[in-house]
Amino acid sequence: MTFRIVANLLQVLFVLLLAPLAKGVLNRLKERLQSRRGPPVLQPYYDLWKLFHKDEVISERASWVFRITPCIVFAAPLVVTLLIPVLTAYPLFMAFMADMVGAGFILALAGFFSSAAAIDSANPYGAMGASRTRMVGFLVEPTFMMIFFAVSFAADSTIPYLVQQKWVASASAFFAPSHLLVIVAFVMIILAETGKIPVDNPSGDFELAMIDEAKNLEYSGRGAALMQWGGSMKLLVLMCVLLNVLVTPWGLANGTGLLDVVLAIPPIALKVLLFLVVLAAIEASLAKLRLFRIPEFLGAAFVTVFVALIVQVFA
Amino acid sequence: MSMAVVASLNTLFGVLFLLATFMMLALRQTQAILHAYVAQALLLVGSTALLAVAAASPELAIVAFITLVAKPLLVPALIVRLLAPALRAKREVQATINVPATLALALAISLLAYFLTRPLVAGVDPVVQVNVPIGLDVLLLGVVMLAIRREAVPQLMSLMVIDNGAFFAGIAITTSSALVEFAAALEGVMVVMIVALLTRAIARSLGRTEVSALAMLREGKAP
Repeated sequence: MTFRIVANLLQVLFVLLLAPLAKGVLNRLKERLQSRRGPPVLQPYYDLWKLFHKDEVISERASWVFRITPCIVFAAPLVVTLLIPVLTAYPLFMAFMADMVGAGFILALAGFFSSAAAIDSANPYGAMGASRTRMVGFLVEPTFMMIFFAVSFAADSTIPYLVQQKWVASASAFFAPSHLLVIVAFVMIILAETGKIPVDNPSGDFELAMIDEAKNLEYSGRGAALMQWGGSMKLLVLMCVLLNVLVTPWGLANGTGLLDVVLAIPPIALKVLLFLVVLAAIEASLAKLRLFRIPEFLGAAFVTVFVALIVQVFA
Repeated sequence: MSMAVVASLNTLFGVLFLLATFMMLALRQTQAILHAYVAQALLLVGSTALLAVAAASPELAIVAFITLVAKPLLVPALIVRLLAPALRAKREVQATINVPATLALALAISLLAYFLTRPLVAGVDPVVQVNVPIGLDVLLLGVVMLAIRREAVPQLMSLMVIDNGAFFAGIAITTSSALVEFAAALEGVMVVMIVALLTRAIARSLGRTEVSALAMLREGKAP
């Protein structure tokens, strides 16, 4: 029992402490691909440190929603961490509290609150960003649902730990067309959900073109730090779901010793690093889509997973 | 190769073949559509070659070779050579319905194709079970593409998509049709050449290749 709690804490600490690093590495890789030097890899930590030591300014019109949102955005990815395999291949004690749909729901809750807070701040850009995020969000939703259907058809479960064991089991299950298509669709969904380039430009400074960032404009000091930290943790959690459950379910700890769990950190960090290279390549080689082309991008993701489901059901 | 490996590789080819067709439906620039077409044709060649190896059939190998020469090489080369200005145009091709609606329609058609072929392929070889529905699906999607595109060059490619769809179903059903395939491939190339020349004539007299502008006859006095 004690071990399980410690292992769970380790998973949470892994996500909590390495998420800013993942963001820093991604930024650095992107700059490198564009032949620029870029900020240091540890820059997100410096930013967080700076923001935590600054005064916070909150509009006097803002309600409790605005104040509580940074905490929810910060906490939601950590709760999801308890549900998914981050370091261990076997379920820990919270794993059967909710399945992948439940994890999606928790992340959606954070999304809902950040949109509500953006409207609450009465900043016109905030409301615009919120409505755009909602548009992307509800277009992502059907694809997410179809991914869950396809996964549960293939693995008879949507508990991430069981799904992952199904893909590991045999090479033919791993190379099944439906599995490969689900991976493609999931990567497209991650790009949309975390505001990456074909959908949104995370490094843009132009408020009118923002989708995701516009919601955080009103936050300063500690609130801004929590929002940024939460955002980078959300990316890391989604990457863990993609890498540890769907794409490369190897390298997770199988033994029940503390050392096993600690030794699982390097291979998983390596997997995340490799995926960050792919992500940076996608971001550096594509152009941002016009707002009204986003439905087509997400429509393509939907078609991909739909084909996966058809093949799965009829084969 | 074991039968299971062949079946799963074949399914992979089939699924990618279907996705390339979806891409052709969703893309807006003529050149990008041509690239998707080439990818689709190459997947068709790959699938044919795979089945030729699996069935140890020289006839199918010949078919694969004919397909390789005709579909991903000769047809695009002809289109590029005869219609370079229309291809290079960076403007977006108009369609009668928008892309999300097209994709929704295409998904409905895919389901329909699977349901229609279900009684036909019940209990037969797994390769046929994959190829016949996907072949019919791609054929129908080609018809949709032909109906919604307003320009001559994408319409020409839709004709080839219809052909590819029928072909994809055909290679799984029979292995002894090299002569027929030869004739069909030759005919495909001929069709492309004739339509491309016609399109060139249209482009020369109108200055564009948008065929939706040619919907009305003007007899007698021009308005």
